[in-house]
Amino acid sequence: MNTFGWLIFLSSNALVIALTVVCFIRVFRSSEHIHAPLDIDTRDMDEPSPERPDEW
Amino acid sequence: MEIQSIAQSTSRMARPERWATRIGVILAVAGSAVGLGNFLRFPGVVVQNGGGAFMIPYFLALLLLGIPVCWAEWIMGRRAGRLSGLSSCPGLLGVLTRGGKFRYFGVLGLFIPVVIYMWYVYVESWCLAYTWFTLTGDICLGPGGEYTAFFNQFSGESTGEFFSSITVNYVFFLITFFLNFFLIYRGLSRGIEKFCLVAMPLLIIAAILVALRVLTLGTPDLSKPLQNVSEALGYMWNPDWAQLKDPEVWLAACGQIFFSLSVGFGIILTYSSYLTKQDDVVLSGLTASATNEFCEVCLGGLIVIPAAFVFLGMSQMQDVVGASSFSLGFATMPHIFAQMPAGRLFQALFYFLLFLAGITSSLSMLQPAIAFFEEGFNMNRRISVALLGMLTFLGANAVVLTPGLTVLATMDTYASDLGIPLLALSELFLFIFVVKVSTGIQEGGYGANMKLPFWFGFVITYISPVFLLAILGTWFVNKLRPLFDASVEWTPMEPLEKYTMLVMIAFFFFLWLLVKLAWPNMQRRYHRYIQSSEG
Repeated sequence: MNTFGWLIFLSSNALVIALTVVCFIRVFRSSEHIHAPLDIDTRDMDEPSPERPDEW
Repeated sequence: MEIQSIAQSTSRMARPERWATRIGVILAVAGSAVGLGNFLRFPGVVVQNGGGAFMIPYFLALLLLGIPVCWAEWIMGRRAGRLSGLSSCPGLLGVLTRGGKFRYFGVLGLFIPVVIYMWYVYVESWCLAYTWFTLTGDICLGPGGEYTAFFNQFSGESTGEFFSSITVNYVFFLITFFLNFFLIYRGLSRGIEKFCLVAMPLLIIAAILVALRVLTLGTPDLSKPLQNVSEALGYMWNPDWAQLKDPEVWLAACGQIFFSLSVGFGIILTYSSYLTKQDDVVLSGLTASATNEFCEVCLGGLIVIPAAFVFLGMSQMQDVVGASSFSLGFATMPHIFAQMPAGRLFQALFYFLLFLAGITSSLSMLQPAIAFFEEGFNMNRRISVALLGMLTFLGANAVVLTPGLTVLATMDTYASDLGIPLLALSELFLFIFVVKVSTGIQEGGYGANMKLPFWFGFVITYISPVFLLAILGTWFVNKLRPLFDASVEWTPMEPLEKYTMLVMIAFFFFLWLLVKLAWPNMQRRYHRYIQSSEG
């Protein structure tokens, strides 16, 4: 690997690791209400409700 | 004194629970973010696009497009969802533009995840099959294993001593396909997400161990001294500046960033539409992106590419990815596990965890179309799921039953590398000209656990659209060059590639028609929601 290769390799990995660590620290310090897509309630598992009267 | 001591002991008791909740949040975000794109697609795309040269446009695309567009999607989705009660991509775009024709751009938000699902579920089934083959000993881990031939015969690229037809492959595809629909039909996608709270850390630990083994491989075959880890890392990271002039490389870098962050799919728009004003979107989006990049660059990039270079050599490695960018992981990984203690156990665990990571991604790809059928045609969830199941089964069968991997590669190229950047561009214009950047920044601040950085407004207004327009424009000019430059000839397309393109175009217009038919129903839902909110 040449000098440019090392430079890009180290800076890319450092950037990604630093970003991940910063995010995790913020998550630990912050309140609730952080979501992952599949964790979000799509509210469509219930039976038809007055809000959705004409479903079939 | 007594009150203080009770308060201290309550605080001590509450702290582990709080930490457990926070770790749960991180794992849930990681579980959703990590998928086959990180460990299987990324290495193949890097090899297809010149190794080291690819990483420069890749990181530029991450910082200037991936993260800003991700935030814009979370913000627009939540805003449109809470103002309208709608969740499908055409509905959300229609509401944001106050019923404008822009809703037809939402067709891309249905088309892309459904088309990607059709081949993604097939690749997912390969992970399940490889878990099975490892446990049964059908893949004999040992030096000189014919892993490329095994994979080619399994995937139907060729026939031979391992597989004479794709029957076994098809059985695994059926299991995976129906498992996905069973989980989503029974509403178990949140359940599988909980399961991934355990599975994802295991996958990351296993990947770190595998990466360490790869980096200590040295020169496994002394008769080929140039096939060593140092040269392999050089292949991936040494920049070849000449490659940067190729618009295909830039478009592929954007496509990979969007693909792995699930940005420009319509998935984030749909899911964020269910959130309330109190829910965070800024830190959620950034944490998902960062975790995803960690798995992709620090783990995915350090496992498959160096191993493929060391075991297969450059020319064979490029032959393998010629069929599909996903092939490399299956032809290469068994070589690494053969060099590890308890390699068989590790291999079975690794492919099974990848299978789970794939399932969390494929389940999320189905939600935009389910939301559309529910809103546009008043179907309940189960009928929407059944209808979508039939539709995707037809498409997925075309991917599995046609010879070779041409259909898969064509769908991947046009839906991921072209369709996603196009939808991302239209979302950018929507954010800038319709929602307005200042309103978007204000909206992002609601419930935020982190402020949007000061540069976000400038980057999303000036840099991201210009960057994406330049890449798409250059790519189109390059493709259409034979029209105005007689010295350049049209690149001939394989017949199967041509038919796949035609079917994809027909499917796009079919969805267009559905959006047109569904719009009056969406309007009725919207008005009902407004009335109930006012009431």
